[in-house]
Amino acid sequence: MNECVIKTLHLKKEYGNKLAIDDFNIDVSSNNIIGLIGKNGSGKTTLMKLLAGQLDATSGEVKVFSENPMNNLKVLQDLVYIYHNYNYPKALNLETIISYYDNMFSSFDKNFARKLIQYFDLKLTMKYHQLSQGMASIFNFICGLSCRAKLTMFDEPVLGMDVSVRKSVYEILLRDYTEYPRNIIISSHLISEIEGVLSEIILIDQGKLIVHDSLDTLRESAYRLNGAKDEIEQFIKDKDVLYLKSGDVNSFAVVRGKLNDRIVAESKSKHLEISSVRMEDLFVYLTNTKQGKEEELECLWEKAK
Amino acid sequence: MFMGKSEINNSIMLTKIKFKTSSSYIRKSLISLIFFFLAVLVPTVITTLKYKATVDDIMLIDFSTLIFICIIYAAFLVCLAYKKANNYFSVFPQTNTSRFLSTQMTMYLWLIVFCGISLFFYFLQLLVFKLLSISNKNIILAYHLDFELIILGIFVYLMYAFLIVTFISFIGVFIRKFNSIAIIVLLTLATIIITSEASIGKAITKPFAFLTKETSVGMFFLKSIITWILLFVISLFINKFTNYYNSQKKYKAYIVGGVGFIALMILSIIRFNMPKNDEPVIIQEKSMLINEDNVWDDDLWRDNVITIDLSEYDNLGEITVETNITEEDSMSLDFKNKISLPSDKKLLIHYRFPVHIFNNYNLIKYTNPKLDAILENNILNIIYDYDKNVKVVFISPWGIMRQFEKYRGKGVISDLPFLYSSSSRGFGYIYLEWNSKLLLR
Repeated sequence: MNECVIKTLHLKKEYGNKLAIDDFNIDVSSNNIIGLIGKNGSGKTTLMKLLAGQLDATSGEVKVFSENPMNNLKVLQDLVYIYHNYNYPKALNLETIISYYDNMFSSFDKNFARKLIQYFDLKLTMKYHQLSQGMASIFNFICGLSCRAKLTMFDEPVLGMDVSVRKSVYEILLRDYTEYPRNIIISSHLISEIEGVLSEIILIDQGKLIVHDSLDTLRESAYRLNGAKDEIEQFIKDKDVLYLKSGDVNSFAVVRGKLNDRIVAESKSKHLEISSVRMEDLFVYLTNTKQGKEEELECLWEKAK
Repeated sequence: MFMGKSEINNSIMLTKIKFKTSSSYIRKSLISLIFFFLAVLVPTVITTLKYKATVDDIMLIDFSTLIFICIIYAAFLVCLAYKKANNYFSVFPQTNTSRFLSTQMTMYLWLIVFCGISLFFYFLQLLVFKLLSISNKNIILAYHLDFELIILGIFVYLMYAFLIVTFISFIGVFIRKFNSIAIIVLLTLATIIITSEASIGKAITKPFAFLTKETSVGMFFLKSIITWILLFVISLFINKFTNYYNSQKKYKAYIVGGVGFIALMILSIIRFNMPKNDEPVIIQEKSMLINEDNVWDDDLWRDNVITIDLSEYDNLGEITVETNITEEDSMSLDFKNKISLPSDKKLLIHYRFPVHIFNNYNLIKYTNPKLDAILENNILNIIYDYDKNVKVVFISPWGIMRQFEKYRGKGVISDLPFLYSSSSRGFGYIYLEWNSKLLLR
């Protein structure tokens, strides 16, 4: 039986009147690389901080390794939460920070961290506060990965990094995970880039859990139909539609459900083109705001009456 | 159990990294102190070497007191920025207890370092002026070196510093836990102490009065250790049950704190502008510190008389008085023909040396003053002789040790917490008890 890594029960977090996490229930119990996906301000950082014991819940329960993480060394020693904009004391250089990690995390691999620093052309003598946003993100990623903590959480780890570095980061992450399997959570609002390394997805919107599933299951959870307006409307009558765009020239719909032979045959008979939905688009449809936002966008250029 | 083994280890590790991180601040403080030391030392050495006819006092800086004031200020800053300072290390595993404990331990380590720095500056000043005094006999060190005082002083100094830092941390913990309630309680207490009659204020501060009033070293340590342990354990306990990651804004606490602080300031201003009933007590305490009695015991204070027997003379005629006393010597000379019986036949020279008291020391004694009177061929020569350009250097290792009777007035430390200086001119008065006439030239 797999160890319970994360479990939340009716978790709620309020900042004054603002609800950041709302009735959040989740259960993670296997070694996976999980993507925590959501728009800006959707509650990703709040959720991670709650899991890292760095924030008090308004109500509900948080369990990491079956225990409350707050003020719990037993849990915290196996957990690392890396924030992209982490604020270290100004005077510290990278070498010193690495030595601090080495002191504080028993599983920290100092040699690995040094090798990565060299690989990314950073210098140990550099002062942390002199690093650019991208370099700071690289360094934080190195520290987090080298901790080899049972639960490693990266909050927007690639912020400020250029494309080639981002690619390397994901490659290293995947390779290290293969060598040392553990639970890694990466928060991002850019699913397309990390899709290749993820095995599970947690989609969060306005503090609510939208979906938590394996990437493969999610990929098969919806399909897209292109074709004539009437045919599409006829086809989706009894189906769970995530999004529908009707136009005189072209119409399409995104339908929730797994493709099967019957659906394919039915679509062919109606001269509808069937295709898979890009993961990034699927999340937009799942958070169900695209339609509303499109209308808002149109309104921006409307002449004042 | 209050703390597990892993929590203790975690606290030690956190202390190590916090101390290492803060070492740059210690380095910067040390550099600033060295600059300050040089900025003070160089002019002092120049003053010491500069010629001045009369005796002069050279009071060197008590770095232990200066650093102590800096420690209190730093403790306040750490207390105010507790959350910000700890957020720098929030990536590392820690608990409320290990976070607080490591902050305290780091501060205690700072105190030990600064205690060492304080001692270093004392010895450095001592070395410089000892070398000067060896090369120049007129430079005299007023206090003698007492190793017992120095070693015991280290512990007393640390005890004082630990207590102050722990007390400030206790206030910080109290406010972090109880927010506006804590601020109300503290402000109420402060208001009572400041505005009430002396008896109520004294009753509140009485448990801590030993800090400045205890005259026995042993009792001071006993009371201090008990107070320190109590404050520390209570702080640790309150902190354990404080939600460090409380994200709620403390507007209420800020408003209460702000309003309370303004009210307290107004009350204090009103109170300090009112006459106090207990003021004479303060004056008495101060006058007790300025112990001029010791100085009065000195022979130098007394009136001295030189008697010249004139019995062998039948008739003197005019006596011309000649003297080397000048205005610069802080002495005056006068004479009077005294109508007396011819059988007296005496020439009396009453005199008293000038007085220059500095911190319960009459500096004139270091000048070896002598006054001689010689009558030859109707010329009375009054010769005032003393060592010129004498510099008396005052340097004490631990200012705080003056509260203990054992060291007070023993010539090893300054007795006064402030600078006290007074002086008066000396005089010579010639009485001629015969039928002659004095002429002062």
